[in-house]
Amino acid sequence: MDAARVLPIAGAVILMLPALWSPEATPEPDTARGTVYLFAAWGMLIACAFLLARRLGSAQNEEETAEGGGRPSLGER
Amino acid sequence: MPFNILVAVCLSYVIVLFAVAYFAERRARQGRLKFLHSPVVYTLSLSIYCTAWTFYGAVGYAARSGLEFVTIYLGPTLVFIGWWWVLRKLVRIGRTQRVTSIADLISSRYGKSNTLGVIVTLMSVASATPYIALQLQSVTLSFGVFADHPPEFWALSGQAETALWIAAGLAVFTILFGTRNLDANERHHGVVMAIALEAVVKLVALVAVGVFIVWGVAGGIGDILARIDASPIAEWHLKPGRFAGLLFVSAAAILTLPRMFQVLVVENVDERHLTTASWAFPAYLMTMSLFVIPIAVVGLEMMPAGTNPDLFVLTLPLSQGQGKLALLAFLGGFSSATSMVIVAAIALATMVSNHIVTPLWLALRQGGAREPGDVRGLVLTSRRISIGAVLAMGYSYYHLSGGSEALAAIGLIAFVGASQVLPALLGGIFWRGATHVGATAGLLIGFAVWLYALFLPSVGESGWISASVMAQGPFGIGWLRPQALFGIGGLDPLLHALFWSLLLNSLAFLIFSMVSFPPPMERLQGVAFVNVFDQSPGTQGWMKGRADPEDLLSMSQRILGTEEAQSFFQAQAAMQGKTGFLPDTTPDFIVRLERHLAGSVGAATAHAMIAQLSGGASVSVQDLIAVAGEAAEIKEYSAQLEAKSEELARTARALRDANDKLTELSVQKDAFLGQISHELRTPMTSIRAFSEILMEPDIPEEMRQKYGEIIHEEARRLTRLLDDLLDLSVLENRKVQLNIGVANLHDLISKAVTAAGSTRPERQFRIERDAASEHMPVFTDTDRLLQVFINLISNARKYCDAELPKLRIEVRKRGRKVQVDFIDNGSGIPKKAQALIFEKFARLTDTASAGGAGLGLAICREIMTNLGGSIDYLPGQGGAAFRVSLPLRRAEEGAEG
Repeated sequence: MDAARVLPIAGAVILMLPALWSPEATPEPDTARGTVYLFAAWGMLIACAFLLARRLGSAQNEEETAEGGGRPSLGER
Repeated sequence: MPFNILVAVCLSYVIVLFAVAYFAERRARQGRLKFLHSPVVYTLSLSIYCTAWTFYGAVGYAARSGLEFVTIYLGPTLVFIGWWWVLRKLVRIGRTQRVTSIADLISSRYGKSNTLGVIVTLMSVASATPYIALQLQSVTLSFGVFADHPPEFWALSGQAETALWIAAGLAVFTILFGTRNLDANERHHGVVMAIALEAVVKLVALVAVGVFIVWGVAGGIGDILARIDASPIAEWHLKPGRFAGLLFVSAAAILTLPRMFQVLVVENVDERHLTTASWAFPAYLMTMSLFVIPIAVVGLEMMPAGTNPDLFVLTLPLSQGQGKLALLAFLGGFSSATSMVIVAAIALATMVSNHIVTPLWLALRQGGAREPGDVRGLVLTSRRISIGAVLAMGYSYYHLSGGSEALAAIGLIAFVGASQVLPALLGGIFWRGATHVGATAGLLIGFAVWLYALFLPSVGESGWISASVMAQGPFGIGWLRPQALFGIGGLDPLLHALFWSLLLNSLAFLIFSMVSFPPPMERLQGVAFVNVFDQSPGTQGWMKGRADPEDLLSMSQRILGTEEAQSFFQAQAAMQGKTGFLPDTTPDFIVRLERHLAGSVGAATAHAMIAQLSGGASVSVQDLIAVAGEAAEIKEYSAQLEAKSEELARTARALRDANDKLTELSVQKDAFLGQISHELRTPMTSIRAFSEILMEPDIPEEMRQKYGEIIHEEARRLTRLLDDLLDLSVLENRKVQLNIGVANLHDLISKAVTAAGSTRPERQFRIERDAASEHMPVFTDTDRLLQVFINLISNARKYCDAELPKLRIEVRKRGRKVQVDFIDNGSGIPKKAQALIFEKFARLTDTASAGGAGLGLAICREIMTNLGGSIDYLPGQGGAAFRVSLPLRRAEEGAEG
């Protein structure tokens, strides 16, 4: 659960990193590299979220059953 | 492509959508919801975030500002992978409070205040209108691109005609499937299913175009990367302020956009779907934006200068002669636009009808909710009209703005407008101190700044804000210039508006929340929202059941429909153990009824309607105090119960102990009786036997002499045993008469040694004493003490099994007590027997050789207790060792213990 809380913060830091790149430092165009970086970071975040979701999902299911089989779905009538 | 075919394809696609929606509704009515309720459908329905703005606009955005476009999708990604923080709570609140829209959530949180509902509704309509216009514009533009040979009427009437037709068609679809019923919790299965299908279509379309561009036009990934660096996009430099600002505003927008709230919270059927959406939705977004840069780069490279980059997705495949791919892309764009418009229209219409029309109607009719009349019909009609109105407004905006704006700009304006709700939303679910005064102030200020600094300038120079105001400020006041508030100019207009509107919004929200005091109803709601995970029982909104159940039923029938209202009332009555349709109007029942109604008409309206029936305000401070009093009473009562049960447990434990002791005593008594009869029987048997022999007539004299002695001896033993028993019983009952006298301890020990000398006199027995330490006077019952000493010494003489038996007697003075130790050099007493030797009839060996009945040490212990001292076995002295300790001067209380 703590990991689920930390993940978006870590994500924000990673995604704000390009803001620190100074354009002057790299005279040759680096947009392609920037693109690759952003999408790689993005994919990694999704993978982390996927792993976390699987763990939290099972934890949540247990919680639901512990509450007495979960409440009936409100849409089902 | 011929225009007619295009129209035909569009129409058949729409027919497919209608069919899907229709079948989904039918399945839902039949209760076959398994697929409809799957997390996949939920995630796909979330994709209405990707509107035509994404489908067409992202490429244009990338062509203009490079990588900046990803912020629009990275913001939501952060919100979703951080679902544990906010989304989970929002969804839980939405489910427990049966929230129908974001305006409903805000109004419900802040004491079911309808004013707030109206404000949020108006803001949402204002910020969504340009967005809807944007969708109409994009579809119209794409039509224009596609229909290369428009028929005569098309050329004549212009593109506005298309937009009108589209708006009308969407209105029909939305009204048909979005207002079928005032369903509990506002779920629209048909619509959700249709937009899920559209989500798939637009994803497939964009990916297909992307794949064609990357591998069909360019030479694969490496080539594309090289082309990116070579293209004008590479000139782009990241502006940190804009990057962060856009990231933030898109993250805020995914929470606060009315249509997102609709699919995210209201249409959510199972909280666990969030778990899937937390990664699947970001993945969807990433896939959608994966090919945006390649398409933009290749488009800029290959299309003639001056081509609208917003339409690259369409024009690129067309220019390559890929008509079918372009058609797919067209359908994707069409899907993006229509799904967004449909959901936005439903969300806005729900808000308008629940927060504006129904309350107005209630206020205008004097009789209020008690009057007959079909509220249900009214709400549905008002919703249908609202949908029409929303689309009409979108169309008007499109018409007014002339359809010339870049798509992305409009989208961002709408985002900033929607994000004004964020402080009130987050404050409402995380901070109990947030009040409706604060929320109102924050919303109004934020909204005003947004209107003034961003929305009105966007309508155009010819619009409501003149060029002179833009340049010099209203009435020449320089620091009020719309794009340079407080004289800070030079900022990006969007960033400028975002910063000032949200800053002033949050400040007003915080300050006014802190200085104002929430009324009771708001407090209750605040606790219910902030502590939604605590599983606390629902808030008690209604204290007195003054409402007539019949009135409530007739009102509910008009909102929920006759059948549903009756079954709800029947179920509630059954829960109270009553038959029929009219349950008692307990606070509990009213709260449930209100929540049920809120699912159809919103919390504020439901609250107002019930308030009318139950005669005015629902919760007063007195009621709250009463609740608190009751709670305190219950708490106290339960504490008392707890104390009682603890006491009971203690008593039970004591009783059990007593019972154990009694059982043990009973066993001991039986054993004692058995022992005593055995002890008495042995001498009696021999006396009887020998006296029978003596009765024989001719017995030699010496034998008679001998048998007489035996009989005499046995009789004496018997007497001694009885004496001992008597003695013991007297001692045990503490009824013994003590003759306190004074004696020298040395003399006493000497007497005892002498007296014990008669035991096994044939044995050589050494006694070691230290005479010097023994001289001290003792005030006690000297005869009794002597008895103890004799017993101990003779025991040692009897049982010491050493070759050269030896007894050491040590006397020590310890304060006011004296200790006399009797230590022999035998093998001592085994450990497990040490606890037993002071018990009655305890003998280490079965052999009655010693002639005692095993009462000696028991008597010794009783004597010492009576004398106020004690006798203990001293282990580990190299033989049997006993310690007698007694007070030098027997204290009176010693007689007791």
